[in-house]
Amino acid sequence: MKSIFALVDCNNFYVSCERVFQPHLEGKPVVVLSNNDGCVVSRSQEAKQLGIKMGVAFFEIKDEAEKNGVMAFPPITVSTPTCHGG
Amino acid sequence: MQTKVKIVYKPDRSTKRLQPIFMAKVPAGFPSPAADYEEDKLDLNKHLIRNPAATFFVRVTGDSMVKAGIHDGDLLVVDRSIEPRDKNVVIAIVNGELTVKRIRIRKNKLTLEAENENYQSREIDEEMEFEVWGVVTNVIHAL
Repeated sequence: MKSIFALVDCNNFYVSCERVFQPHLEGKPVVVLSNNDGCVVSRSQEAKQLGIKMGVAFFEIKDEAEKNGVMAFPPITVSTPTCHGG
Repeated sequence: MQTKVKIVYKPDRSTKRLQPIFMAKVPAGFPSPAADYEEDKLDLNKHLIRNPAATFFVRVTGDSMVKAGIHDGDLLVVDRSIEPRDKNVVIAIVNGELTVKRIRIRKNKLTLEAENENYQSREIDEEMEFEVWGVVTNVIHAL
């Protein structure tokens, strides 16, 4: 019997997850940072359009990001799934 | 204040606590000889959560849903996989906010109602940013 595999890919995954619980982030420039707010690991479409590169160290772009109203979030950890909404 | 979502929690189903249900009512007079016999055990997680992958607990603030039994600070059990039906209490995304409302789905007309006379119903038209986030199945209210 043949096996069928499905590969599921989601756009801007961490940002998309954050938007499920914070719907007001839709349409806004949002990035998600790695542990300890290190690097950008996910960018919304609007953040990409501002020229924020994948993997950039956050401290390097922090001032510019704040000026453009970019919102940065830590990753939602899978082990303690507590999400803040609203 | 409009009832809205303050915090969203994922249920912790790792602990198991089976509480016995006593089938004999709490006696005010002569105790029932069957009172020692505990019947089925009840796991609240199993009782409250039908679809674990899609269920969240939601702490709410506000008083716009008091007549539905939802008070400020209550915890709601929300299932995101249920198709909303007319008169369900839902978590709705309105203008980017997670709010609690009763949805009315009637021929060509979609309305969000409060359960408090001080708040008005709101008809949903095509221009509004609106989405049902989940259906509220239970309320946990501390007395």
